[in-house]
Amino acid sequence: MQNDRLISRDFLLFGLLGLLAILLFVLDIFFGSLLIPFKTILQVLTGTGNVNPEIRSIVIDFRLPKAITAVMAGMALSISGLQMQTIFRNPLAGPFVLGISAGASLGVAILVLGFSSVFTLGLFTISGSWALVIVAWLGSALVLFLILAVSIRIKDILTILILGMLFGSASGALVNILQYFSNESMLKSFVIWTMGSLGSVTKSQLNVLIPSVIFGLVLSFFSIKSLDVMLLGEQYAKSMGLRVRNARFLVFTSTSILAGSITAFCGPIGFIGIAVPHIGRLLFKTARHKILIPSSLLIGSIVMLLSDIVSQMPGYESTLPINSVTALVGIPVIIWIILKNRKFSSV
Amino acid sequence: MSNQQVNITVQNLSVGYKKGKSFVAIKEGINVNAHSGELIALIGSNGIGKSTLLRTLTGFQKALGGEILFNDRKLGSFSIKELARVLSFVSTEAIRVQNLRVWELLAMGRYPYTNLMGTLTDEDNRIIQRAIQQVGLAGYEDRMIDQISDGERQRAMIARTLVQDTPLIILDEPTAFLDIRNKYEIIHLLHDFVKTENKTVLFSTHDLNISTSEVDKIWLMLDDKVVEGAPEDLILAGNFDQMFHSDKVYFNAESGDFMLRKNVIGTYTLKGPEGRIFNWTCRALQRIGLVYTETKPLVVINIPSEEKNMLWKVEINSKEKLEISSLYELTAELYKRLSGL
Amino acid sequence: MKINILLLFSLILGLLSCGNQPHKQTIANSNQFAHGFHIAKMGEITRLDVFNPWENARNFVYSYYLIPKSIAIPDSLANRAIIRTPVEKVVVLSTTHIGFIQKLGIESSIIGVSGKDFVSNPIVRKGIDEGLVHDVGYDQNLNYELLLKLKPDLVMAYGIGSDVAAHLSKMKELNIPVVINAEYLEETPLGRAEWLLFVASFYNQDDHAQQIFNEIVMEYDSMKTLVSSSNRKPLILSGLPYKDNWWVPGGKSYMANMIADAGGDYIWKENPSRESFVVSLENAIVKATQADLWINTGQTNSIQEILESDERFKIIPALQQKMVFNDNKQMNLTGGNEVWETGAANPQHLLRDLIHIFHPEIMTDSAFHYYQKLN
Repeated sequence: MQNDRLISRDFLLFGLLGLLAILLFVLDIFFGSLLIPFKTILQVLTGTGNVNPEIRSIVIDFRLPKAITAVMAGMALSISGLQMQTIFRNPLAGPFVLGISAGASLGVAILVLGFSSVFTLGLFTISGSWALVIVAWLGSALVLFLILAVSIRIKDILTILILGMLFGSASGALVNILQYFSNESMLKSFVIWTMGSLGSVTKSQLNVLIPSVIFGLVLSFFSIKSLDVMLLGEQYAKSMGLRVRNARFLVFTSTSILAGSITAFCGPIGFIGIAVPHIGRLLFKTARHKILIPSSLLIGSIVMLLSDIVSQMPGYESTLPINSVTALVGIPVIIWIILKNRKFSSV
Repeated sequence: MSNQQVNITVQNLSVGYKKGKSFVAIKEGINVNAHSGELIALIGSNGIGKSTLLRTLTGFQKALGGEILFNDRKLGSFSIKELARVLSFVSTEAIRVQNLRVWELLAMGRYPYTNLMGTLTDEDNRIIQRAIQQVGLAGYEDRMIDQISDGERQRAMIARTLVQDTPLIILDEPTAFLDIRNKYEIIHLLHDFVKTENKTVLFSTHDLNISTSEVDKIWLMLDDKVVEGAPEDLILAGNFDQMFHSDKVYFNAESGDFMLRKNVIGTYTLKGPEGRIFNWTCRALQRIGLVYTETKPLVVINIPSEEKNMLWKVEINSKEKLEISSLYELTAELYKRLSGL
Repeated sequence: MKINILLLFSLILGLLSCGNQPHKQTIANSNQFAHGFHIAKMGEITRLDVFNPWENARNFVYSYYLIPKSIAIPDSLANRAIIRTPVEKVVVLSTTHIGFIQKLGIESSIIGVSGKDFVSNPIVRKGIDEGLVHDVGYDQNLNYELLLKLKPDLVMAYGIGSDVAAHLSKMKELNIPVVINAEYLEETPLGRAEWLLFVASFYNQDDHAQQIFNEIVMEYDSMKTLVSSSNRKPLILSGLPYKDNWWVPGGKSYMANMIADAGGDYIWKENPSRESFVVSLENAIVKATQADLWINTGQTNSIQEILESDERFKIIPALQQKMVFNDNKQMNLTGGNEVWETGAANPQHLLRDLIHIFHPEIMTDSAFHYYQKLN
């Protein structure tokens, strides 16, 4: 291959991944905690037959939005992880290295843990899902703002990484304080939020989530060229004409919108952002983002849909928290990367 | 392909770094030039400021004073994009990216010229192809850059600058860590496209031998000033001696080498025909600190006349007689006997 | 050979665990309904046994010896847990304990609470405002120094899991008398209420308490009989989910029993758990659509708030028909709900409310005590 046109192997891989994604999407609708016969589900989807309204509601109002959310989460987290790994030249970077999920957690903690007595007055409802979304998003936005402010003054990208992690730790410390002084039920609510949830995103919430994710993804498309050249480091990138500060802005903003939106609606979901880009690198054997971005979109969807199906534990009455499943999937991949990368430290 | 020719003019330049609120100047009042079609070596001892000067020339660091002009245009007036079409750079940083092919690495050099998506035109492809040929990496297009040798990778990085198609190329120690054969190959490469395409190429190095024999001009950084000139100019002017403070090191003007002054342990003379054996025996004895003399030498050696079954016949102080079959034994024996005295 | 080692091992373990309380003992019971405690009178001294005072505890007994302040402590009981009676200054770590003390009319004995914001009792609140009643903090940050300073005659604690043992040993070190109340583990409403007798024994108000309790039993049973004559049993849904899972009362739990006593049919009555269990959202929705009535919807005050927490609940018929009732009518300004405080001690009020909800035709002139209908 002497040019940047895709070879037939790439086309084949993309085709297979696409088919797999579609298949898993369908399976995610077919499988859930409740055992619903396939025939019934088909009837609901095609609008035929006589189906109980609650069964219909489960398929249309619960499973379909959940599957779409899984796809959005898979795509958003993978692309933000990919961008972070490239810009920091660190294979273990993920969407949350800038402290985004920590910021979101802080927002939610302040709401759920700090104002519990205010809620019982009926001034707000903490279980009001939009309230949670808004504070989580505000929290991530605050962190984004801090990071952008810092990256104007600071040239060294490694310093920015460390600062991002410190912002995250600081948020975590504040959350710990709030947790320490709260009672059991509030604490439990908060802890459950941190376990992540794909199933509580409703259709009207999807109307906000989907455009946010698409916006973040579009921004990342505009960064394809910058990301490629940043593989060599910011010094080389600049010598080849990249306006590094602008490129950073675009990447950080895209990552924050993607990771922040998912965290706001679904809670923090880990490991996907770190592991999925590496699977793409492994399959396509390339470092170029023109291929890695689409591959991460597909693989991210696949992994997230698969995790969701597993977490539903079909046939059992309860479900697993999504974070545990993504951890079980992601950790072996990450271990494998570490072992494979002992020689080289870069992406 | 760019036909531009660029001269570098450095006027009264001060370079250094910022410390807190103030600036620390490493070198001040630098006045040097480089013309198109010239290969220039920047030489100086460690820590003297070579990298700082290069980083200032490439715009990574701000100058503390003075001007840098490319063809009479100030460096500061170039936008980042404009500069990328004029100047390309190879640093000392080792590039460790996985899954990147040689061809893809070179393709990055077209960054200043491609559209938003980075699509390569036929012209771009042609330029990349040509660069691969020029650095002698034909056939390496699909090899991963982390799986080729250091020398090949260095050539690939240089090829990238060719792809970037700039009239000015600056390299920071391009021959460091390469074996002797690769060192010469890189320098020859640079020399080639300086001459064929009239580029201006500036590189810093510690390899004095190669520089003094291959480059058009040297910028020599000393403690108090920067001098420029052809290598031979600087040698004749004795500038290289000022590089080192120690009187243990001196610049041998005949061989063009830096040498350690040895403790003289004795004098010698050789009897035998001139030629390779004569020359190399001299070198070996010089290495251990013996000085050649015609009058009253301490050691007299009859060198072998042919290169098979060589035997040196040694007489020390008109007393001891030895027969030795290798220069290794010769130097060892002589050193043992004479250095104690 | 293997079996011998195993036996030796268990013997050693058994010997080691014998040295300190709690210890294995056969479970005797002096009560009509409550399983969790036993009162044994030994002359002037009373022994209180508390059994398995936290979830998943098995074969644990805490024994307390109530010795009147007027007599000396016998040598034989020198190393046991001793409380000098009658107690005059008491710290309570759960607001439920306040409910029992309130029935006896001696709230003035309370000098310390855990979480003053959640207290509803007006006498105690007045004490808090005047600085006579102190907040000693929650589980992990219990203010031991304050406890020492207050020198209570008794601290009433409760355990969530075995980490309560850490508090107990700490307080024992500091010579603070502490007992574990486990009324919340009783799965029958009358069993829970019977812990009034447990609390009363520290105050030497046994007879007074027995009388009050008998009245409660009578009132409760008469209402229960009244409603059992009805043929109709509405299906009841209880709880509010959060995120992907729904924690609901088990089929043999306190709430389930209360619902049954009130003439309702609890949707998950087949479930064998005596505590709560978790159901996935999908499974819960399907069950929920069968319910006639929905009770105990968390912190919500209106139908709108329920929909705000998840708009998909609109398919639940009970919600569409606005047959939703929540037990948060008596909320104080700082987040305390009176039902948590006095509900356990007053099952008759709860029963009355529930019967009013399930069978409005029977209790026509009742006003809600703890519950409100959500609009």
